[in-house]
Amino acid sequence: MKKALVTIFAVVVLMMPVLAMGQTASGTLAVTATVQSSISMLFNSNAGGVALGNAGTNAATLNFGNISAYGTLAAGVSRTVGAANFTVSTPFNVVVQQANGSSANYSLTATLANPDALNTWALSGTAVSNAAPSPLTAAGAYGNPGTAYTLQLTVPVASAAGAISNTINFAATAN
Amino acid sequence: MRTTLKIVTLIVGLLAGSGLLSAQTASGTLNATLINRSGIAVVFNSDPAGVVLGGAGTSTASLNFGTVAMYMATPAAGVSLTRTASDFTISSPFDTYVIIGGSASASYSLQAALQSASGVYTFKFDGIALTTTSSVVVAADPNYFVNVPHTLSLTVPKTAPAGAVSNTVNFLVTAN
Repeated sequence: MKKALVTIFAVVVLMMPVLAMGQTASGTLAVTATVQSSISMLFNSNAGGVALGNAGTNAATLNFGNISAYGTLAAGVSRTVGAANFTVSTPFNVVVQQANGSSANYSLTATLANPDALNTWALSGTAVSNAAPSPLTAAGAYGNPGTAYTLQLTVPVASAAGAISNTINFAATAN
Repeated sequence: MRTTLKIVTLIVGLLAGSGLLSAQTASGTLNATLINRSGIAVVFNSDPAGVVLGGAGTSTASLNFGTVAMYMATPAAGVSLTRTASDFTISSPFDTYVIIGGSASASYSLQAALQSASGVYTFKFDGIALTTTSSVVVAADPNYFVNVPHTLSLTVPKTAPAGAVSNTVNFLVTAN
């Protein structure tokens, strides 16, 4: 009888660490998020135009390079020459994308960041100034490859040579 | 004879009484039995780099990514945002804290499962996609009594409708 008790005790002691293993506990982590629709805009180089700086972003640069009424132009730059001025132009793409929304299309406006009393700026024939946003489209299509717009810069032939710079602010609004 | 007996009884009583009053002692023995039972628990804590958990320090916490959008400029504090052409992913670190007592366990495993089917959304724990079937996400972590950072991420397809997204991750911690 005594031997049996000793044996039982030994078995229980030996089993204790084993019983400790395999113990479980549970926890729950509730995860929530609220998804909102959103749109984005970026600029891409057009195959027929100059290569944009920072293409694929919403803060790109377009450099016409050296322009003149009669001199050689950079690749991708076109020119028309009138009696009083000449116009250089190049196409680029505006890509507007939508996520998690049901908007069918978007409207797009453009505004010059700074006034330019001497030169004339236009996008695909629509004059752009700093006075007010110029509507470019009322129903633009979302997605790639986007919409090609041609930036046109008209320079009077009587103006002095030198650098010309400005920034065009675009605003896309989901319809 | 009777008088003598009374006197003796009185003397004995006085002697006994004075002795009890002058150096009273008592002793007792309390036999206490402690049953040392082992146990394990997991609680969730906010990670310094992540969102603040609701119910932090408990085993039933909540993690709210807040309002998110694929093209948002800046997500909420503690939330990271990455994008691909077709979806976006938000993520946040949080900490698990596993407690154990009365055990010689050297490590624990962690299993996780989504409570509900995730539909078009993808929930990941440390990069491991979660489903409603429990899977081992940590096989042997020796870090008891330590905040262990993990990352929970939610991937939202670009084509998913706007609105609330919610689910619950059920964790099971097991002493190895």
